[in-house]
Amino acid sequence: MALMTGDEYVESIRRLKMKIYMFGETVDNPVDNPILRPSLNSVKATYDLAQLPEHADLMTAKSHLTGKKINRFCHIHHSTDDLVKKVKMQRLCGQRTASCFQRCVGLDSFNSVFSTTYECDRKHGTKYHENFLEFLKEAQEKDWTVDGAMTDPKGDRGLSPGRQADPDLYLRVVERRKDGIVVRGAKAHQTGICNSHQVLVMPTIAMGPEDRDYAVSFAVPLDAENLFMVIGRQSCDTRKLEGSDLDVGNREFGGVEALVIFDNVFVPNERIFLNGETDFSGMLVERFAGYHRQSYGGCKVGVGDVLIGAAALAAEYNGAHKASHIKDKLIEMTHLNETLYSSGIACSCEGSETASGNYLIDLLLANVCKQNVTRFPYEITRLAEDIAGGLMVTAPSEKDLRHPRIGPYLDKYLRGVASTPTEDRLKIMRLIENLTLGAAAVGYRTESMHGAGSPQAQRIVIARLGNMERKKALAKNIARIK
Amino acid sequence: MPKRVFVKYCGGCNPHFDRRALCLKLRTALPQLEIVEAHPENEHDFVAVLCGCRAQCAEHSELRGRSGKKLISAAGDYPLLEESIKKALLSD
Repeated sequence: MALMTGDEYVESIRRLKMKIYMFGETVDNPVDNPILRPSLNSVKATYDLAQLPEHADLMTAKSHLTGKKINRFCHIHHSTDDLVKKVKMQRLCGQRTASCFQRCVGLDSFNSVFSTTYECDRKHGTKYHENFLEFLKEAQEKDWTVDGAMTDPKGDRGLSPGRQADPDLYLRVVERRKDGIVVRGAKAHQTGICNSHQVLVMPTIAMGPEDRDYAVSFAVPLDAENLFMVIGRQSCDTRKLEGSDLDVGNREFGGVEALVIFDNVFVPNERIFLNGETDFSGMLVERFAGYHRQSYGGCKVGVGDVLIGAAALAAEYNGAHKASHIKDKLIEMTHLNETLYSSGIACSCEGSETASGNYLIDLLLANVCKQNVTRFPYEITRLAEDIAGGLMVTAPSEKDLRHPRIGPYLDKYLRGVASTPTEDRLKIMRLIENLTLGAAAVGYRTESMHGAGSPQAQRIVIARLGNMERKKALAKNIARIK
Repeated sequence: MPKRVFVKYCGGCNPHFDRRALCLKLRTALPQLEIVEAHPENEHDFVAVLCGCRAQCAEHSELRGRSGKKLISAAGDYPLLEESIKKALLSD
């Protein structure tokens, strides 16, 4: 079963007995919960698209472990072509869901843990790579969605993990046993965790020898004992409970984040991928962050494609589409969006082979990519709001539109061009609202800012890899300075 | 047994035309041929590679058509494709 269908994926998640809290209550059936279901549908799309011949080139790959056809979200990149295809696949998934489809974080953790465990084993004589290969083989065979979990709560940002007032503010090993370890802590902002089969945990920062217990990487199923999650709120989230297709903007798809708590979770030896080797914590973090910063050059571009299309339709629906300033704004949005894509593609083309044989993106260009993503979607949303006009935040509800007495008035007074039904105009307004300040803005705006690391995290890498001495030497040479 | 045309697609990240619609057009225009979109074996009479843009990134180097292969990357190239298939498979 190397490729699950979307329906098989949904049923596989249904079988997991996860402990999920939302609005102060346990969620017994997350699969059919109206708040959570759109996010599950986004992951489901990654399975559905893999079944279609017109997307198979991007959505599937050949496993280097088994030779079988697998979903690319479970693939280990073995060429720059693989890296490029990853970005294209993400653009496609963003276009089809207009939301975060959640599965790239697993792909990025697979590839970073793959190469880091290989190098760790070579130095320390550990068996983590072997452990990881077994895990990966199972993930590919069962077509798992895996949540790559990196971000610890971090407490006082001025203190290292071991110096925090509460030692659990970074996830750590609290007990080492013959058959495994027991871990305690939490991972924050975990995208798609309630839609995943497994969680692959990684440390969140480079660490020194004193933080040995915090340098830990492992995988456990989401229904592991003593693991539970608390769903994060999104703006307009409870609109999904109202039963209105129109008012939610994107009825089918969405994203989800949660705080996941490991309250003394047992991890068997065979699922441990790092356990105290602090000198490899930084490598793992840097590689995961690099891959994930590359990801944003694909996924957000796909969502941007939808938003640009929505803005163009909004202009057509109110008759403003021929105005030169509208055309220019759409050009600017496209320019910004394709610039994001350019750096996603560039860091992939400039990728290189690691000691383990998989391919790593160019880290400088991947960080430049993500740095752009912390800015451009904000400008794209600003322009979309400009084109849409105030109606995107003042339009009455679907119930008003359907009301026998006031509905006809709304139909009359909220119409733009005569040939476009008022309802269609309102649908586009709600989609723009959804992406710019509704539930999907979590994924398109703030996730663009902070996902895969906040802007300053990229600037640190850019400063380190920017080759400033070479630039100074070039200037000296031209200026004839000895 | 009808001659078989295998339609191979690029991944479709940002296509400039509807590639599947073009495949359907091919089916309608050439009903005497079997037009398949997925086939495990590399035994086809003709391979039609439909790329959504000029990047032409479809993986087709290992695909062989006994009577030929044609790649197109714009909707306007459709007549050339149809003509190539007719010439290769239906000329006698």
